[in-house]
Amino acid sequence: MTLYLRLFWVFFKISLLSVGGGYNMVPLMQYEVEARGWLPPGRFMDMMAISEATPGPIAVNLATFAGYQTAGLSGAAAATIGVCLPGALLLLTLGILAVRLRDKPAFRAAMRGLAPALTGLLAATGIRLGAALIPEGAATPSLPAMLIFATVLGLAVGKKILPLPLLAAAAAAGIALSLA
Amino acid sequence: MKPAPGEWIWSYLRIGASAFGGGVAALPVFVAELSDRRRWLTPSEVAEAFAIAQSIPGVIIVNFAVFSALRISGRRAAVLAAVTVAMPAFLIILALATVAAGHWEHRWVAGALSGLRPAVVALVAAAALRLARPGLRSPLFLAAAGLSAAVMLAGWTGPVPLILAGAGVGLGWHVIARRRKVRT
Repeated sequence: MTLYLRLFWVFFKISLLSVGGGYNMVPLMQYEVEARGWLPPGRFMDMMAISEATPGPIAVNLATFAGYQTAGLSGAAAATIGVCLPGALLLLTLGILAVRLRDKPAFRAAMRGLAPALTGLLAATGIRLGAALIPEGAATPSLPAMLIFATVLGLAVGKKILPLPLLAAAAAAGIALSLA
Repeated sequence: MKPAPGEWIWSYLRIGASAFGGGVAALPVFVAELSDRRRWLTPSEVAEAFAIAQSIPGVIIVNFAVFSALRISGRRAAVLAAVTVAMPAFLIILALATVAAGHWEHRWVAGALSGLRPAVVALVAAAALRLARPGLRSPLFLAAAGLSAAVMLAGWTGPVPLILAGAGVGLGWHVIARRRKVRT
């Protein structure tokens, strides 16, 4: 398989197995992209931050970036088409029937089973990404990194503040600390 | 009355260029453009299309664009809507990736990223907590979530088998429960 075909197929698969969008796609995306050496965990986090801060679907942002880093412009196109296609194909073939799928008890049952699996996967992805914050030779991430993590988590969960202002503040804090 | 292609292509480009954060955050943008501004769909039709987009695999915003364009103007429009709604994100990221290429190590960029990375980990953790909330009182849910996290962290499999297993268990449970009901 050429690299373009592989990029297309991997992102097609990621998209096909992700229901509900948004962060539900993150564990699959992170795992597949890292396992193939397309993006190291650090760069994946940078890219997630950029995806949150730029307009458009996060999945498209991530696919475009990973494709571009791996195989240039054509790679970006292959990955983006791959990530957009499953949903579009399903809707074009099912059309209005897709409306009924949602109300099928069997479909709802499958989604109920998926919820705990996905919760665990997201938690595991958080732990893996967190481990990537630990500098080489150290036992824990730096103190500022842990403070930023705790603050953002508290504000996102407790105060329901949106990602964009949180990320802007975190970036400003990072710059200020690097200049200090 | 079908709107002219130029009109809705422009609309989907606008949506793609103004939906920050993706997914659920995009709903108000869709309502503002397709319902308030253009009056092609009623707000409840937009909400229905959004619910569909969320309940099938894929990218919510792209799914939404395809489904709403199918409603507004038919199949050919739906294909073009997928392309146009994804286009701004694609171009913006390409531009950024090209510009960023030589500057990852720049002092300010590296400083900003050192603050952004732990924030991203926190957002992933927050998403996991949000997903866990409805199941927090169910020991079964917590056990299954813990098992899934442990299997993934131990590196026994990737996420694909775990996702399929989760959906399979849900489906199997449903089938067994229904058979029991039929018998009694």
